[in-house]
Amino acid sequence: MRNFGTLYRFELKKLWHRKMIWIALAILTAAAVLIPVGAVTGKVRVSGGTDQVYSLYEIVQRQRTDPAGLEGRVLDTDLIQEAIEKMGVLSRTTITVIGSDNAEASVTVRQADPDELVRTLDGYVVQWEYGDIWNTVETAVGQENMTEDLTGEDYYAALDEARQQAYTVRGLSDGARAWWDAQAEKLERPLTITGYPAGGWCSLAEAAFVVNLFIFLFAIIALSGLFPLESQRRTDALLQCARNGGTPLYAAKLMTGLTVSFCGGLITLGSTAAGCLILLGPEDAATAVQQLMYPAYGAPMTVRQLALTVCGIYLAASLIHAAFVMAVGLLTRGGTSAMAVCFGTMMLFIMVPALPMSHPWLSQLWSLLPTVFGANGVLADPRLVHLGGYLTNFQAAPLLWLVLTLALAALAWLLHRRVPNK
Amino acid sequence: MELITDRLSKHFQNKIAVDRVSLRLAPGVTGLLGANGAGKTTLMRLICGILKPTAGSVSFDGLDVSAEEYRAQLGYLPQDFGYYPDFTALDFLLYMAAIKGLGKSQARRKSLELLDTVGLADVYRKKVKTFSGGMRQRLGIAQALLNDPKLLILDEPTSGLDPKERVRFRDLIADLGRDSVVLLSTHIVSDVEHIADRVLIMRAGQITFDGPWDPERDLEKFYLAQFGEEEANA
Repeated sequence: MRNFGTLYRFELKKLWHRKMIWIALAILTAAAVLIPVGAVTGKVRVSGGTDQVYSLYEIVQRQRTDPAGLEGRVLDTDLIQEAIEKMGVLSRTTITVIGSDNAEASVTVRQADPDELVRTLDGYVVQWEYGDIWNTVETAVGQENMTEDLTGEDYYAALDEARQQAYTVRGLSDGARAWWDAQAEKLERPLTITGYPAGGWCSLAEAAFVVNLFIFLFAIIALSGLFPLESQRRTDALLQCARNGGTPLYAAKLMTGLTVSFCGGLITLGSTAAGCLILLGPEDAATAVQQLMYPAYGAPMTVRQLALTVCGIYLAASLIHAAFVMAVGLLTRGGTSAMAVCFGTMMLFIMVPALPMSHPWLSQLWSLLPTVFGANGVLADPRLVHLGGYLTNFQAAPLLWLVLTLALAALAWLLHRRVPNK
Repeated sequence: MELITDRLSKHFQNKIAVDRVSLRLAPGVTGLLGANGAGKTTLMRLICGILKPTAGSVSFDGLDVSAEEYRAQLGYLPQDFGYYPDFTALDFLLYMAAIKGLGKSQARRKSLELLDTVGLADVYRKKVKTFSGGMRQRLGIAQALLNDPKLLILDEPTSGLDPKERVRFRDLIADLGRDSVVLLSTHIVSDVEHIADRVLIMRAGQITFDGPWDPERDLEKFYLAQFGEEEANA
């Protein structure tokens, strides 16, 4: 395309000079970094006996350097009973959590040995060693069943039942159920667990959804004026009557918008990832999602695989965000009005994260939209898309976004080409 | 080389801005005069293809106004000339050259040449936002000439220029008129009087006068007679 590289460079330069973009990027990046920082900010005072205060950061680092002795064990009857014994119904201790603003809140944690807890940090770490496993099992079987006669078979049966129930609730077809059942065959039973509690990868997988909203917000701020800017600066007439003012200029602007949004996504997601992995550690990489995040998820997946997949998907979402914002900019022909429309759209998606199952197709389509995707947990929705074979949400969503991005780009092209009537 | 408008009309909601204007413009400078709101700018925007006509057509050398080849031969200086405040003068011209389809080396050569022509060679690295109104206007004239246009549409090109600069640009435009079709709209009757081979007078969207102009005649007197002194001063 004629002069595409030069036009692209100048379009980037136009955005480069806009202070608002840099301010937005700085604020959103800071907010993205603060997500993992929040997880290690605050202190814990263990009450009873001699008061001892630990920072959350200290506790997390201790867990990383001195992992629990559960590494390589399988989640079977023995371990479940051990967790129940250590954590469960045997004793309870109240601890005071001191927030970064020094506000205090008392919470009750299940704890094996209050004396040990007070005496050493290691004692407190016991809670973290068994806490995740205890919670995982409790979520599946219910607190009332966390008894001394609970077996590994009971736990896995409860998971299977929960999975089948989710399939029923989501109205999965027989074919989709069979697909998931085939995936479930590959699950390791009993599950071999790692000694590390939820760490950096787990936090990243959970935080990515919020960062996705930051990316959309950045695209709104950076790109809503990309096309309308020309009419605001009264340069539109010069561009329209020039040889490359049509498709070549449109292509350069489109590519600029996609690049800027993608880079914004890379910076914000990268900041969160760096914060998560530096502060909370990458030690949970090989841990199965079934151990730390979604006990009933029906296919094998590690926490790192999930985090990377989710980050990749939200980076792909940055492209559709950009295409949407640019199309709205061309439609409204005003940067401020485009910003208002896009921001309103984002709020709508935030307020309506799911549609009722009474409209299954609409509900599924809605759940795959980029601002909603993952709002209810990225692995929580087992619905598949049947396109020849079955596609999971992780495969269907980017495909849908690609189609929508192309459609929005085509709409934007038509809007850019139109000759004004006024 | 001929610009043809055939029964060109533009209607806005309650107003007919351009009313069935049919013209044939050959190389040379054509001055377009008219009071405010007469339809001059609308006519020029229609000729540049940046406004959709309600009826009629525009073509240049057989090329329709919507054709890319038409735009390749067009140079336009709008009345309200926009710019990118954070671009340097050279950047602005290089960008406009890229938009007009010039290759990199040609764009640089032509930009520097035109910056010299319009007297901005010594400030080519300065940002446009630091320029005075007159300097910006000169930059606007330079961008219109980047692609050596065969059809040059200038809407109030000398507004904001000091008298010395005005005379200089008047001569430049007269030079351009030797090889190109130049349509020049202005309120400064003396500009047209000095350089226009042909004069168009517009009133209420219609061409009320169209003919060659004898430099010996007093155009201002003729113009005032057409409109009445009050309207001419409006």
